[in-house]
Amino acid sequence: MKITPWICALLLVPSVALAQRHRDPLTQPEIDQIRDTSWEPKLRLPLYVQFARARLVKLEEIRSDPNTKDRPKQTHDLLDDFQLLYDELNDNIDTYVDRKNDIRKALKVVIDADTEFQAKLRALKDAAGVSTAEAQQYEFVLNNAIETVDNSTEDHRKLLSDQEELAKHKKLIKDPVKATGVSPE
Amino acid sequence: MLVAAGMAKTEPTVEELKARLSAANAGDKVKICVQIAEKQVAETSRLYQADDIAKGQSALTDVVSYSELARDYSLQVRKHQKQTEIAVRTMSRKLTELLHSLGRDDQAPVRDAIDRLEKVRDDLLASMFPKGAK
Repeated sequence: MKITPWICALLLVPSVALAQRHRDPLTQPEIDQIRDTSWEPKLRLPLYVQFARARLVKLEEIRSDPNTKDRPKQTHDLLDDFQLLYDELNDNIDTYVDRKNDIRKALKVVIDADTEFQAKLRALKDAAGVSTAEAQQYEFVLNNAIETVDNSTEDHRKLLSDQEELAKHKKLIKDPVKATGVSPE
Repeated sequence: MLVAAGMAKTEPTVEELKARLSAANAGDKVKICVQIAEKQVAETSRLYQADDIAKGQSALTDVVSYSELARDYSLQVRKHQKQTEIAVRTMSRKLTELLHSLGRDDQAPVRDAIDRLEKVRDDLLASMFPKGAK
C-alpha cells in the first residue's frame, strides 16, 4: 500500500501535538519542593512565582542567544509552561482563600511579580525584529498569558484587600501548620 | 432543610449517574460520562490527600474510563466534542496539580491517567480539526 505524504502528515499531527502538551511544567526537583510546602502558603506561593519567573528568564535567554535552535517553538513551550504554572498558582491561591488562610504576605509577593510578568510579556509582544511567521507560532499562547496575568493582577489586589478586611476582624487562620497539624518538611 | 433536600436532588451521586447511563441516549451519555469523570477527579484528589491511595486509584480509573467513554460517545454522535475537550482539559490540569502534591512513588498512576486524558483531548481535537489545526 502506498502511503502518501499527506497521510503521513495527518498521522504525525496528533503525536506531535501530544508530545507538545505532555510536558509537565515542573521538573521533578521542583515538584518535590512544591509538595514539601503544601500546607504552608507563605512558602508555596512564592515557589510558584519563582518557577514561573524562571521560565520567563529562560525565555529572555534563549531569545537573546543567536545560537538558539528552533526559537519559535522554544518560545511557545516556555510561554505554555509559564501559563500552566501561573494557572496552578491561581488555583492554589483559591484553595488557601477558601480555607481562610492568611496569605497576605504571599499575595504581596505575587502582586509584585504580576507587574514584572506583565512587563516581560509585553516586551516580548512588542519586540522588534521578529518576523510575522515567527510571531504567529507563539502569538496565541502569548496573548493568552498576557490576558491571564492582566485579569489575575486585579483579582490578586482585590483578594489582598479582602484579606486585610478579614484580618481586621480576626477571621483569618494565621498558622495553617497548627490548624492542620501537618508541618512542612 | 427543604433547600438542602432540593440541592441534593440536583447533585446526583456517581452511582446514580452510572445507573442513568444505560438508559440515556448517546448525546446524554456524553454529558453523564463527563459528569462522572469530573466528580471522580474531585474524589481522587480528596482520597489522595487523605492518603487513601488504593481508593484514590480506583476513583482515578473511573476518571480515565469515563473520559474515554465520553470521547467515544461524542465521536459517535458527532456532538459535544468542544465541551468534552474543555472538560477533559480541566480535569487533566487538576490531576497535574494533584501530581505535584504527591511523592515520587505515588506519581506513576496519576501521570499515566494524565497521558490518557491528553490522548482523549487529541482525539477530540482531531475530530474537530481534521487537518490537524491546533
